[in-house]
Amino acid sequence: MNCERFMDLLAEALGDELPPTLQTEFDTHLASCARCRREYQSMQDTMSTLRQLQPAPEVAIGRLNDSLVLGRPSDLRRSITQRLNGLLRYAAIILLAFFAGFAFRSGSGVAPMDRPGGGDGPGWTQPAQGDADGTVRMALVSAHRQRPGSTKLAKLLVALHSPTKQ
Amino acid sequence: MSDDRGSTSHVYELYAAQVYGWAYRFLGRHHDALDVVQDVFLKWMTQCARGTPDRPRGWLRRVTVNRAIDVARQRRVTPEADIQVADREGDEQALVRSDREVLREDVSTAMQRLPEMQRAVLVAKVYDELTFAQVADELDIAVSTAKTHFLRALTAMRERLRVRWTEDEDR
Repeated sequence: MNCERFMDLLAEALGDELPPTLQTEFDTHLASCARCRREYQSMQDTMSTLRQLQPAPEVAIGRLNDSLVLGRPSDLRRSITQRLNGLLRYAAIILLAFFAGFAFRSGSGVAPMDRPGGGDGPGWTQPAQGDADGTVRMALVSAHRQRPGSTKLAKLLVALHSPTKQ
Repeated sequence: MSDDRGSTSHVYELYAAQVYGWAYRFLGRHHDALDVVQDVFLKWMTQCARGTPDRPRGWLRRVTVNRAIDVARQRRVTPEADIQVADREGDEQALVRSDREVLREDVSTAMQRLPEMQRAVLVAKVYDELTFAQVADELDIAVSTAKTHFLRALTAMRERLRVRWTEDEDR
């Protein structure tokens, strides 16, 4: 094998894709040619450095979901269909919580949904009970911003915050 | 529709983080990578209406890479460090970043300066360890072209790192 042939095979060698017979020839030339050896070693060092220096940040699926839901203004407009898949799931959770609260109020006379300070619009003052609730709240806010009062979720939003006005 | 939702949800849970990783390694920006993730899964939902791909991972990867290339071309990604990291750390802490972090940003900048196809091939080979045949299939190019792109990209990165290493030695 000469240096020209060596260079032709360099890409495959760096990717560990040489068939065994060619690999043997490649290694033999590597051992005998200092110039080709330097070239190969420097390219290998570069690959090794790149691997060490630029891993993608580890993104837990929950954080990814939060980022997608919160998004940016352009994202809110673009991906309503995608969000509805997740929002419908969260809506089911909210409905269950609402009816549970309604049943509790009917039984005890207490209005668990009442919030101090009242107000006409959503105040979102109650702290989230863990990340899931926070995500749910922001998901509903996102949907409400896009079409206030025109989606089932938005109506649910209003109903949750002003239960006595239903 | 309910089948599509189930399929999309399941595939999302399985692959969303991977899709993000593929996009982030190519684009080097958190929000750009998020945009790609959204676009990819919206496209998946559309695709599922016609028929679910036999190999979801391969389909997702191909679409992710192509979408990331489109994003890079459209937005002409400006070479800079990941803004999210800087925002989180604050300006004061950014001044005392380790040499490794500075070098990582330098590498990221140099990667963003590569032509999109060279960058796509380099990322696929270095980080995802695909074969040249797989890379060529994914990017719809010839195997020989993939090899050429790879060597040119790696040579460019080597020169950038060589400059960096030389600067470090001169300090």
